[in-house]
Parts: sequence; C-alpha cells; structure tokens
Amino acid sequence: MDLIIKQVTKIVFPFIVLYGFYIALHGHLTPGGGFAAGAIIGSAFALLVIAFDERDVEHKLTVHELIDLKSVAGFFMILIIGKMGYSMRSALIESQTLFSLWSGGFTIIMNLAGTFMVSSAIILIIYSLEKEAWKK
Amino acid sequence: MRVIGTDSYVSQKVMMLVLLVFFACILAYSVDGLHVFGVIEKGSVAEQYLNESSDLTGSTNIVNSIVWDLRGFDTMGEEIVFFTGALGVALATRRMVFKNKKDQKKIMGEK
Repeated sequence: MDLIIKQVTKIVFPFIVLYGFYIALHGHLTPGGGFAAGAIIGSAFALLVIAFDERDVEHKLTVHELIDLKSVAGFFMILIIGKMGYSMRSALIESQTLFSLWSGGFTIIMNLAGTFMVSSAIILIIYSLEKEAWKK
Repeated sequence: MRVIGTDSYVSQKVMMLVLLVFFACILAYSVDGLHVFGVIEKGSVAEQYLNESSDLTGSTNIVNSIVWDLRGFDTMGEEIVFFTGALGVALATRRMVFKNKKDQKKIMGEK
C-alpha cells in the first residue's frame, strides 16, 4: 500500500485497540459491550493486514498462537464464570458501588471474555482469507 | 375452469392469493392481542428487568446486564456459533503441507 496509509496505520493502530478495550471495560456503564469491542479490535487488525505486506504481519505477530490462547481463554472464562455466577454473585456485587468502573458483577468479566472470543474469530477470518489471496 | 391445486398458471395465482389472505388474517388477529406500546404491564418480565436488573447484576446498562449476565448462557452459545463459523473459514482456506510425495498421493489421491 501507499506510504501515507502505512504511516497513518502505524500511528492509529494502538489507539484503535485501546478504544476497543475501553468499550469492553465500560460495557456495563455505557452503550457497547463484548461484541462491539471485539469488532473494533478485529477491524484494527484488518487495517494492519490491508496496509502492510501481509507476509510481514503474519511473520511478526504469530497470530495463530495468539488466536489459540485467546479463544481457549475466552471460552473457559465464560464457562467457569457461568458456573461460579450462581454461588459468588451476591458477594461480588456487595463489594462494588453502582455507576463506578468497578461494578457490574460478572458483566464486566463476561464482556472481556466475549471480547476475546469475537476479536479472535474476526482476526482468524481475515487472516484465513488473506492467506487464500497469497496462494496466487 | 379447472380445480384449484392443478398445475395451471391461474390456479397457482388463486392459491397464492388465498394463502395471502389467510396469513394476513392470522397476523391481524395476533396484532390485536399484543400489549399497548409504551405501557408496562404489572408483573411482566420487562418490568422486573427494568426495576431489578441493576440490583441483581450490579450493572447500570440494562441491555448489557441482560445479554451478558441474566441471559449469559444464551450468549455463550452465540459466541460458540460465531467462533465455529470462523473455524470453518480457517478450515476451508487452510494450506496443506506434506512430508513427501507419497503422503500427498495418499491423502489427495492419485494425480
């Protein structure tokens, strides 16, 4: 791609990822949540793949290990929290104050787990399709 | 004139018209039984969610508290469906690597 697009992507990429995590962490206070945050983080990686030479991106990020780790972690987080939710819910909520960042009980943790799942799925799709294009 | 249900063009149109009127009647009948828009009935699930969800889950965003906490198991299944779709894309576009020609012939067939 162009030099301008490459440079702008270098500057903007960490902020997009940061914004995604902001949306995930504030999911219990403001509009948004796990799905929206995962889509934002996935779109940041899509920008990276489009702007740079795709082979470089794959070589440096070793995305397959990242995806394995993230998806497994997200899946087990959701499962474990779902089991724990019925026994520990009230104790957790009592320690929190409403309308502050540390509130929401299990909603905040579920948002993070969902973000991991959605973003890793989107990155997986984008990289697979890009690889298909490399074959030519 | 032919009996409705045979394969002539006109009879198909008539059949479609009858079915259309039938389903329109069903929909109009079911609309009559809906709640009044904007009015929350006493003791309904919607009222319970609006009043108690912030106390139950500690989250002030009611939509998020329903999606990720009160209906969390449903959302987990949704995530699994989403991730399975992504895995399907990866599986369909994967690159196969073989140790030698013999393995390639065995797996991909003679060529």
